[in-house]
Amino acid sequence: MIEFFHRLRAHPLLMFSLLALAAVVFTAHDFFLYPDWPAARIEDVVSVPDHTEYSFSDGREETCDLQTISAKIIHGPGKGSRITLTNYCTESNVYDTRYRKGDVVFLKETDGGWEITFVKRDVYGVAALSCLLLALAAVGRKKGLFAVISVAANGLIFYLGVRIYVDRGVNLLGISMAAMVLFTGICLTLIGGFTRMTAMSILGTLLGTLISFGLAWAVLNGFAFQGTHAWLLEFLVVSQDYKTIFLSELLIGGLGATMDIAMSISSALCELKDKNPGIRFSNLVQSGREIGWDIIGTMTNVLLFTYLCGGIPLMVVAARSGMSIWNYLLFYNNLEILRFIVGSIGIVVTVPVSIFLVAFLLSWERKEAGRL
Amino acid sequence: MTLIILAGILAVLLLLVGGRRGLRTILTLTLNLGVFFAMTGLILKGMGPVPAAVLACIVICIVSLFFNCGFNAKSVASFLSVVFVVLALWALVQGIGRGAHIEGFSSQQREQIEAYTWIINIDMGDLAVACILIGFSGAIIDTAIAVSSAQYEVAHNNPRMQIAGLYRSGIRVGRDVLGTTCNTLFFAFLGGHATLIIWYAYVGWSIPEIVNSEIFMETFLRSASSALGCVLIMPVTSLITAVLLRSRANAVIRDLERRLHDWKRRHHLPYLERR
Repeated sequence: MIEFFHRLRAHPLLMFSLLALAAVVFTAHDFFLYPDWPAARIEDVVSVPDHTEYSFSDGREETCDLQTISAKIIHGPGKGSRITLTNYCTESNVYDTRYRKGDVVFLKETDGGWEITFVKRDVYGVAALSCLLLALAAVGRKKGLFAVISVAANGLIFYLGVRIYVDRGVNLLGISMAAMVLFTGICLTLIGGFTRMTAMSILGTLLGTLISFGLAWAVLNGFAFQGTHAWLLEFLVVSQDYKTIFLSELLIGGLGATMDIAMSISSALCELKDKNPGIRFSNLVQSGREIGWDIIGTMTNVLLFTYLCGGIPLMVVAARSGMSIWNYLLFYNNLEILRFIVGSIGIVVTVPVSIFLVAFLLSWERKEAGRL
Repeated sequence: MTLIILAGILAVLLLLVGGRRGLRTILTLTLNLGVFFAMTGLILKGMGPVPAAVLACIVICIVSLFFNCGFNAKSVASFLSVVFVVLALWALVQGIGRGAHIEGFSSQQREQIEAYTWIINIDMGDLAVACILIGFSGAIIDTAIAVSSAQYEVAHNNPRMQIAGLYRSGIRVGRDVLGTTCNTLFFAFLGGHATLIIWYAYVGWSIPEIVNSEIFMETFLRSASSALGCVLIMPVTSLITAVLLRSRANAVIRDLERRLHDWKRRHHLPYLERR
């Protein structure tokens, strides 16, 4: 056994794979974490067409099935006993769920028997996370570990920020500003170490983000959020807060892309300066522009698809309800597009800002060195 | 109104900072937005959401790579690796997404969408998978082109370097990009879902409730698969680019590149040219 562990240490990837597998298996059996939620595994499903439902907007029809589900209780009172559950579901499953054999579901006791509350999803989340961490370890090695640390640290800061906002009622925009500085510092230091390049990219990121956020803030407030429908934000608790929440989301959302740009430009320019200490200000600016443009094109695309994809289901449902997609996206629920546009403004602003900042600091550095 | 003004500001900035290349970025974005709308249109017309998304991924890839970066070994290699990774992840996403039942809307979202019909003749489970595939297409294209263009430069400067050496340098560049790419995705996730997290904090849900809820799992799977795609594409692109640059395929691509260039010149299409 000990021999086996010794051998395992020589193969870290094999060890990580075993750990990932163990995590998934553990989550599949972690019912002790849910003491109050009885659970059952679905063993058989019989679906019978029950009635036809019609869409109120265009008269489409769908068969609504009645599912008769036989399941075995695997956790909670009556463990081991077999029960029968019923469930109605349509073909599209917009609001309902079509259960399948093998699903594990949580149950609620009703006066007549049992009712399904929701599917046990944690095992799939852990499976996806394990795949991701495994890939990061296999491909990224130490850099992958740093990426994980950075995401975990920033997630913790974000959580603390949310807690302060919810518990103390401190202004969210202020919290976001403070969090932004922390995020930028942590991320870039973890990537670049304590170097002048890191300091320059932090400065570039903060400056670029503040300028683009200022622009967005001025335009949004100047037009009193006219036509933005920010109150359509999903999951608003206090609806008066929508402006602050949306602005904070804008501030944080583009930060990663801005950091990427600032980092690439300052590292490339510092590299140039180190290889050729006598390089002129104008040459630095010229090279910075070349590098900046290579990134802007693909980076704006990243933001475009990352933001737009989340809106597809709602868009499709709206279109089926008789709204044109174009009208829907531009005039009705345009928050995703706004996020993309403000994020892209951040990217475009950061390029010249960090080029001039870095080029200026580097040539100033040379003059200082000359004077000494 | 605000949307139009902000879009105008973005366009002006792109043109001011980038000139002709800014114009090309605007064109690429418009084309990609067009592909996005076309895909939604196809889904609404009755095409399966997942095939529509895979098709859209390929078209987006063609637009962003060949139109934005020109036709050369880098874009060909990136294209091949993006297609490979999308197809490979499709199976995984389909399996996990189907099992986790992330289809449709959760009961917490119901209030907001009550006014809409729920008889839509589109399988929401497939649609959720399609969203994930479209969501990571942009990010993996970005990573692929970063890795392959760095390898292209290395190969150009070291003509004697062989496939193994080129592959290693691709992986090294990929590792450098890894941190910033993860950050980009992570902050985009926070920016897009801050309201949801604040909502969880207000309502006081416990961790088990959050982890098993549909809306959380849907957003989490979307972000995790984007990140997974970005990580997986690094070795794939490194390998494909290294092989392409040091094999007979390189000559074929060079030949095609030259012919395309001649063709463009003959038809006076200078704006399609690089730079």
